[in-house]
Amino acid sequence: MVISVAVSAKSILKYFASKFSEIGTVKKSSPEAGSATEYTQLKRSLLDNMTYLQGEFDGCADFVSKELTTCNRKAIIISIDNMVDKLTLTQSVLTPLSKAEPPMGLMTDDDIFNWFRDSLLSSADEKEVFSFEEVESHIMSGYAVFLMDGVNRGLAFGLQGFKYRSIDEPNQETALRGSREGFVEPLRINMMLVRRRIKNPNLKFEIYKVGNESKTEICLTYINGVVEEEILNEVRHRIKTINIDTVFASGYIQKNFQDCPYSIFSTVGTTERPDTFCGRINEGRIGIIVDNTPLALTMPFLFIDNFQNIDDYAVGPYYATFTRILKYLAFFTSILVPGLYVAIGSFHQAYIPSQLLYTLAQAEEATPFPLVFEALLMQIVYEMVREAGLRLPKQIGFAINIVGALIIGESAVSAGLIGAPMVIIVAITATTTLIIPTLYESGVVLRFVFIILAGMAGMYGIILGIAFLGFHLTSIKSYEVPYTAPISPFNARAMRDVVVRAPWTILSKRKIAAQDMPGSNVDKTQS
Amino acid sequence: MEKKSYISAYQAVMLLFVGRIMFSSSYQAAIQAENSFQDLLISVVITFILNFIVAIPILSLLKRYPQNDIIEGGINISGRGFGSFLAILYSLFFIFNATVIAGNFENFFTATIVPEVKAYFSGLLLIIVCLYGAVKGIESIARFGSVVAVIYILTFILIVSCLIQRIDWNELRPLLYNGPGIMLRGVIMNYNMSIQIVALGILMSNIVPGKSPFKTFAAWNILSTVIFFILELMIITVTGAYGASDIYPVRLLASIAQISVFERLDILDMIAWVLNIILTLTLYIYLAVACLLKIGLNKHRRLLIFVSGVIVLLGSLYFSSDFPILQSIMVSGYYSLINTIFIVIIPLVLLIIDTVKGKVLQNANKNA
Amino acid sequence: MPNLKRICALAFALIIPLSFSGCMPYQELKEESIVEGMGIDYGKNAYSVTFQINDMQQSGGSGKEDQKNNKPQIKIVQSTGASLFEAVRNANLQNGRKLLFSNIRAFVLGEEVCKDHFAELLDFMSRNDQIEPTEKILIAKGKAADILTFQENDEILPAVNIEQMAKRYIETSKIPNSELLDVLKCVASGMVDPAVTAISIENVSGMDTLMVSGTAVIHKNKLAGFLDHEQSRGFMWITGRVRGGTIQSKLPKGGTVTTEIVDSQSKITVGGDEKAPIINISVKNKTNITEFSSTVGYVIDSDFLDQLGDIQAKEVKAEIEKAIQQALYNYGADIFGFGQRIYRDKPELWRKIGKDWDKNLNNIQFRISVQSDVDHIGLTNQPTHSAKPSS
Repeated sequence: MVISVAVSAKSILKYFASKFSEIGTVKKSSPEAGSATEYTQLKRSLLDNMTYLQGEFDGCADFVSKELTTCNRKAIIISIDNMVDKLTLTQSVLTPLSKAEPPMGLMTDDDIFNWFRDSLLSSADEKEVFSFEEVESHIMSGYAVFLMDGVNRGLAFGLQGFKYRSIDEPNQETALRGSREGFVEPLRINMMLVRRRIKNPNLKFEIYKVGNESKTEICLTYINGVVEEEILNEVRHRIKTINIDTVFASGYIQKNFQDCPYSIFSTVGTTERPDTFCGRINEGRIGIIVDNTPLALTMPFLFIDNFQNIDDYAVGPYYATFTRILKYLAFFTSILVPGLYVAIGSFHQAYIPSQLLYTLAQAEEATPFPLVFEALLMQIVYEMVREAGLRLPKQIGFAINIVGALIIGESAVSAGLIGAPMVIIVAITATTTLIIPTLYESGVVLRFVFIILAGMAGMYGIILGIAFLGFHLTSIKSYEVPYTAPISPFNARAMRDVVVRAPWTILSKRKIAAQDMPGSNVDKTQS
Repeated sequence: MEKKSYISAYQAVMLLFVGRIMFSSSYQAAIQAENSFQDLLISVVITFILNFIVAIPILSLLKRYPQNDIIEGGINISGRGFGSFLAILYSLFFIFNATVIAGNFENFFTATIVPEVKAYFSGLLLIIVCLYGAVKGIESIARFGSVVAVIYILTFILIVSCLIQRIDWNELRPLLYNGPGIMLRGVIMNYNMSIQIVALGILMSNIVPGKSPFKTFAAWNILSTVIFFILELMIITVTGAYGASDIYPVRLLASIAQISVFERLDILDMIAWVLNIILTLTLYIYLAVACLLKIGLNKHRRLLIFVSGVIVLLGSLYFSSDFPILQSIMVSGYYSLINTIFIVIIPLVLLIIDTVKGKVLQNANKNA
Repeated sequence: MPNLKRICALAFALIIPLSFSGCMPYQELKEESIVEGMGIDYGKNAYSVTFQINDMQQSGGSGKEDQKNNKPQIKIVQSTGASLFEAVRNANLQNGRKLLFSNIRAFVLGEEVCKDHFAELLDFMSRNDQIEPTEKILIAKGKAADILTFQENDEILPAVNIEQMAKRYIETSKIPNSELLDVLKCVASGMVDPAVTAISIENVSGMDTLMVSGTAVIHKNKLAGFLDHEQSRGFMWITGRVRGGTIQSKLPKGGTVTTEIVDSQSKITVGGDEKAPIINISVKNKTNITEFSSTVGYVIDSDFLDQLGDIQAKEVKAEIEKAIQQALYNYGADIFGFGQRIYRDKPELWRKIGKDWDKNLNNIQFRISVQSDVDHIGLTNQPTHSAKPSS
């Protein structure tokens, strides 16, 4: 199969070469944005080049070079071990080179090099490199670089063959009716996954390098014509001001794109699925794919986006509306119910209906701790069990879950430490928090805050907490779009996809992009 | 460059609606209506018409200078000195109203939520949250305000629909048996509560351009009056003469309402009430500070907010320790006179100065 | 320095709430007693209050199984005090827990205390925020303490049963439904006299049982007297609250028909002048035949139903007249709201006669008209009787 790929690559190259022969050379690669503007020209002498390069890569055991002689000139192919597909390299580069017979008339080194570049060497992804920095960045991205004596240029072949995780179902955001593909680590594969879904030349990719030491590539993705220039320029500006040494996860640079980095709620969305990513970009958002991270960032990100899932659009409108309402209920339940239980049970017993009052009083009678302490204890125990389950291998994880859920809960009630209603509340909370995975972190913090407020000031404390949260939520903006739009400021047309999911006849009319949300202060250049 | 914050007319109406609807009913008990409780319905209708009449000066002032509120209009018309004086006056007006509301809340807290708590504790927490909201700015207040208004309306619908079977229409007769005294006192009380026209006047500069102030005001008046009318109707017909002496009749209504197992719904009323108080208090503190910012104290915004918060807290402690004084102020005619100065007389004076100035300029242009 | 500001704000935000955490009274359910029933008596210049408390300490065991299978244990606490609230607080001298009033099922007021201090009792209940206005009030014939400590099968009858007995007024309509709110409304208006459910210990076939035994009539804040079951139903007819119950009619040719009342409406209109005000009471009701015991055969047709309706109407009218006789004339209490009716319908008339309403009561002329319809007859067309052999 690899041979057929190579053969087809060769034929495609020949086809394109014949088509564009009059246009000419492969473009010179420009210095990329965000990177250092150093530029050290390659030298004509192969020995000098190799001395420099071997000095740079001194101590790197994965730096391999193959010397060869073609057309009576010395040449060398350098690459990083295990990054290049060796078979393809041999077949498309080394074999032709070793058998190369330059046509008559090509005498100088430059001519022969140009002949190599344009006609002989067949690789679909071929670039000409001019500086040492380009050579280094290319071979560390998996290219194989060909340097010839007497020529101050090099050829980089994109024959990446490094092993990467196969495209698999994303394990955090599963969907019943969406695709089973999730982002993987290499940037170019992720870009391919996105491009396959939006076959439109308006989908633009811009590549930047961030990270002073790690020089990680990130890809700015947007659809021209839907996105707003103002937001785009803001994002570009923020990328340029990233000053960080290493970027190993998209979360490292996430705070640079947030307007309120100290808020509990994140105004930058993350996703592991290419279909969600494309859906968001199509609404005028901007996506950033970070190399070596399967989580892509999207901005601007609103509160309602946490509750939208690819499944909602694939099933019918009635069930989709039902699940949407369920999700909103679930979120507010998970935050408020433990606090409400503590508040009403500790301060306002007058409001409990009679039968429930007896049950609660009997449960409380048997337990030594006050309600707020029980609530905090059970929530902390649950979080501990969850963290333990996350980090352990699967087999032990199951055991911990069973131990945690059944045994701790059951025995605590039987031993008389915790009341049975509290265990039910914890179970409800646990279930409802997992319905909205993106709000999990905020939900946990808010839940604890509400429990403490309820324990201190009862129902009054909870109402104050709600007011505080309300003021906070409504003051956050994500790139000049209010975070809680379109719930408040309210716009009935934009609500067609918030709590209800209107049928496609309504959804496919007039697109409502992120910047069209009510209350947004974006200067629009296109309507 | 900071963009100016705008709120839409709908949000403004919701904000002001929240301020009007809750607290009016808590001063009814001071009228001592007893058997003539049903006369208060007529006074609601009369106040509706009175509001329109009384708002004419402010609305015409706003119409003359669109996009400028009363203070800015005052500065334009009569110069910086008088404008600053006006700004300080209005700022004190809002601070006083905020103090009244906070005092009412602390009394509510002591009477219904937890009796044994010291007043400064509940007041302090309330002021902290309100100051936070005021610092965040009018956009945040307006957005949160529309959510709170919707919560209130939903609670209202729920309670009213639970109580429909208890309505006794006979309670509404006879009207004006004891003469128009109770009705007039009701008109005075409702008039004292309807100061939101002044708030609208100051908020006008933040409202999205192009909205007619009259339409906004009319929308607010109609919405508040309709809902308040239904509320009064429910109070009169369900609780009868007993409700006339209850300080918090809306809470009484909620505790009578029953839904299957839940024998009392006044927890919902408490949630709606406290959220409304937080919102209105935040709005008034913000407006009080906004008045002062317009005369050039921009740099001291946070300090001004903090200071007004402290003043409100201290004032509310005084009021809550002596709630009957607050009640008697709210139903007294002298307070109506003071309100009239702010609502009618000052804009009227500004209008007159403006007209006179315009005529003088016209004459000068003719002569030149 | 923004960082310093943030640190200060954070410290402020943490210290303030923590320092106030002791200010809110944290009332655990463990430290509260749930009061089921409250009985008020008066004796020796002091209020004597009886609390029926749901005692969780005895009934709440540790462990899950105990939590399910426990019946509530009732504990009785009696305390005295110069005022009602003081008596309530003095209960804490005997009961280690704070009292929770929100779950009270029934207030029972003793006969003695109502004879003198009825309205004063209500003030405590209306001012307290825990007590719902829709709770039941009953007046006991005798002492309230006896009612609340009544033992049945060697266990104290919980107040829940008292409340449920009072709720069953629909089945017989022989007792009124009196909630705290109704009584407060009557007292506040000053024109209607409250009518409260009465409860007593009766001896039925040799055994003492609790029974709701009619209506207690309050006049001028004093207990005036009691109405028995028939008179109470007359009261319910006039105020249009009858929703259930039975009427027995004796047929002229023999046999008794028992019908079940399905619905009723009453309309009161006012006429006349100040010397002789006329009150027209018109009652309509609908009934179904539920039992027809007769040795003589009848055919149930529309004529028969009309005739039955007339007989029923006479029964109803008799009950109404008995109620008016006892309450209005014997006790002088206007529990039916006739005065309020005049006040509402003809305010001018009320202005003239309202001040001396106690005296002017006796001048009222009543015109009572009852219309009774028999709707459904059940499944059989004839009474079950032994048919004569045809000969």
